[in-house]
Amino acid sequence: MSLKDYEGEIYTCLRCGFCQAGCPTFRHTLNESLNARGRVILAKLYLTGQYTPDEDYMQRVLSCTLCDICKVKCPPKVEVAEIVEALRSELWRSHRDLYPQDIVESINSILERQNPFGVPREQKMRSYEGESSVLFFVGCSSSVYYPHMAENTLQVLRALGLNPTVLGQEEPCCGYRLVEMGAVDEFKRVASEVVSFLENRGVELVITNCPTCYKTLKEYYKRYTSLTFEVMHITEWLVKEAKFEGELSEPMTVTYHDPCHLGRSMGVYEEPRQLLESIRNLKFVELPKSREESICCGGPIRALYPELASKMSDEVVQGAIEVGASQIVSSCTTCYRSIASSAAFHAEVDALDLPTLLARALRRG
Amino acid sequence: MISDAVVRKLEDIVGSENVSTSPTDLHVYSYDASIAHATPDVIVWPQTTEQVSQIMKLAYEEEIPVTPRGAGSCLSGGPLPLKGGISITMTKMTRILDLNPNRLQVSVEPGVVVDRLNEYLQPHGLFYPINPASSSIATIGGCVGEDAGPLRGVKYGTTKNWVLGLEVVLPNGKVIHVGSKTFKHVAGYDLVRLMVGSEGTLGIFTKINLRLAPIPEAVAVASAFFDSADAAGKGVRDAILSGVDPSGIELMERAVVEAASKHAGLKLPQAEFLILYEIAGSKESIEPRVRKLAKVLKEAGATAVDVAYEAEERARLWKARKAAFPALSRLRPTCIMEDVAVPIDNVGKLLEALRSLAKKHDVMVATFGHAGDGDLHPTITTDERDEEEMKRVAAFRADMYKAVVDLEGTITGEHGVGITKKPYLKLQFREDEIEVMRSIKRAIDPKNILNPGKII
Ligand SMILES: Cc1cc2nc3c(=O)[nH]c(=O)nc-3n(C[C@H](O)[C@H](O)[C@H](O)COP(=O)(O)OP(=O)(O)OC[C@H]3O[C@@H](n4cnc5c(N)ncnc54)[C@H](O)[C@@H]3O)c2cc1C
Ligand code: SF4
Ligand code: SF4
Repeated sequence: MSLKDYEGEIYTCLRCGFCQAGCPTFRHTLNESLNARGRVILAKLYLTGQYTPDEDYMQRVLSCTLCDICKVKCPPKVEVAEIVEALRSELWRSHRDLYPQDIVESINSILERQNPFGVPREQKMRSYEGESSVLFFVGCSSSVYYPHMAENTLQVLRALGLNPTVLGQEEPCCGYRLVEMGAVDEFKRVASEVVSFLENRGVELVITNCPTCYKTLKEYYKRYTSLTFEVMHITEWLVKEAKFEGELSEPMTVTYHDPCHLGRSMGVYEEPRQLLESIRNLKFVELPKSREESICCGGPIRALYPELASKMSDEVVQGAIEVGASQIVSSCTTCYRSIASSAAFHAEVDALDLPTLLARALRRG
Repeated sequence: MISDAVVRKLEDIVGSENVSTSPTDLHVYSYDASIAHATPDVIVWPQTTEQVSQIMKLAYEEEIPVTPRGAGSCLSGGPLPLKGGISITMTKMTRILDLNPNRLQVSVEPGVVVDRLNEYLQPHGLFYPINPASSSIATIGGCVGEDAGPLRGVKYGTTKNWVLGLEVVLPNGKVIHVGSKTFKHVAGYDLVRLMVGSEGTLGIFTKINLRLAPIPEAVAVASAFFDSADAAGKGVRDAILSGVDPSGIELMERAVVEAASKHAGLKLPQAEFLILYEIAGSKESIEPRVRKLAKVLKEAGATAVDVAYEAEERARLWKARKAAFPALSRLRPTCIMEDVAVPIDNVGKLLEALRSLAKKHDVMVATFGHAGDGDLHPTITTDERDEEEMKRVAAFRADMYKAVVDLEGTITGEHGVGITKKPYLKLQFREDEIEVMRSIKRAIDPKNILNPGKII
């Protein structure tokens, strides 16, 4: 959809400013043009041609993490994140020269090397032959930087009777960064390529650990193509199709950080909690802000605006310290990286990814 | 336009990270929640009284307009810099300075958000009762600027009843302290009352000393249904006269209830008028008061009265009330929330007048509001891009203000005059009266640099 298609949504914004109570980029800057209302105004200005396309304009638009908490606080539930996406798609067409080099490179890297990090495709993890109709879609971030998370996911799935295929270097990038940053035409192409690639392989069920791949496959792809396979997050599969049980050798107090793409975007709140609650010797505590109110960890903008992103992840870590958790569990590699970088400054708390915790609990370790 | 030299001086005062001349930021700071807009030349975020004072001294010397801003949730254009100049944004002054539970007082900086203050007070068993519907973002400074009113105005009044003292930076940069730390004082003119509701035109508040209240022990909410404006008016008036001491009385008419129920996914009985009454106080007092209220309402003509004692059920009703505005805003592209008040025995007549004027001008108007204060929000849903319809909207508004003044009411109960109601002030006051206001403004702000072009 083009920005023009969102004109009605833009006019629905009352400019009440209630989004200030949620928007993390506003909270940490107190600059209203980094708030949802500001971004809707910037989109309106684009439509009427009154904006000044400069570095500040781009920064205000590109620093939105698409975390969607503004919609939770918004009385008429304006789709601000979708407006921002549509605005970016205009900017990608009209002002590509103003995009930070990082983003352009990341986009090219997806198109050329099937990952957003600019690394050779060969750096992805190894493949595993399993049932051909069930695919564990690892995701670039885990595949390149955190293969142990994928290995642990596999271990858990296998222990519970599912032996999925892992494509390794052959796994395509889901292309989220394209749609996130406005390269919509490129994204459409990638989406249809990925879908036919998976269909041709006879895939019927895709299991993801990465919430971003999950949302991209399950929701963004549906905007442009129809899917013949089912997409499930690992936590959904474990709760629905298996009976997970585990135990830790030592007591541990754990909190759970809802990734924006899994929670607010896709409504998966309960499954991760059910899994945690089913682990003996694990004490589960909620963060001060959880579920719908969960605070974005800043992950999506860490590379572009590290200072702002750090303030956001610091806030998550502070919350965990407040509730006395020693581990902040998240089922997202982006959140993991973000939270770990803040937790590194605090001896009392660490970041932990869910598959690793589950694998450990299965081993009763 | 502001010279580079002035911008540099501002940067010297507050630090360059607290000054912006970015066209992008200036565009965004051209708006509040009203339909007006006006663009500043520079935005400044001070952090101390001293900085505010220095900014004002500089502005005074250079004769640059300065417009204070809080969260920018104003519905009348108050924080919009009509003459350009400096937008002085108070959102970085967020300290809660001094809580004194034994005195029921707290002192805060102006950027403190109302809900944050109440979260802070809650463990002490205290609260600041003036929570407008915008309390999740509205700053105390902005509330003082507008004399904001709460949902529970029947019992607690408005901001002016809770501000004991103010630190104010005057247009010439001098810092004064007005009011006292006592609940009553008559030493000299009441400058606190003058400042509260001055919409940023007389001084910039940098510290605010507030009175607090203990959190009531128990609460119940009664909902009553009425078939006619006349009966609803009686239901408001008689509840107050009965002595059952409701803390809030909120009204929604049929169109609002319909939209709100749909929006919030609630099932509410449909009636021409739904009125919610909150009764708060000691545990033992609630039931007898509610029983008496139900009797009074039936006699006033209520077709049914329900009572919610449980927190969950009360929350459901308040949710519907809070969904009123957002639900209406989804009906058409543009939504204008009006704000008019009449004496409490004229609420029924106001409701009737609103309905017949909406019909006359063929505009969509749905009314809800703080009926117990006589303060209603007739809300117009329209499309700002349709010129012909906007003309009818303007005609409706002009007639509405006339009707309100005829009913001995006011053109604004809580949202302020700002830009959007300035043309109508003369309906309510004669030239002599407005001239007194002007002479006060001249005495305090001889160069007319503080929020110029507003109110008068
Ligand atoms: C959906 C919605 C619901 C609302 N509900 C209510 C309600 O129930 N009751 C109610 O009364 N209002 C309501 N309002 C209006 C508005 O939210 C209030 O007036 C609020 O108090 C404004 O606070 P703010 O921080 O946003 O101030 P702003 O809008 O930024 O400013 C308001 C005025 O105060 C001045 N000002 C701000 N800070 C200072 C300062 N430190 N010193 C001097 N002047 C200053 C500004 O110049 C301006 O004139 C509502 C608004 C919306 C959008
Ligand atoms: S999506 Fe998140 S970052 Fe973007 S405007 Fe909304 S709340 Fe702010
Ligand atoms: S809360 Fe929603 S309607 Fe209000 S300003 Fe923000 S985006 Fe607009």
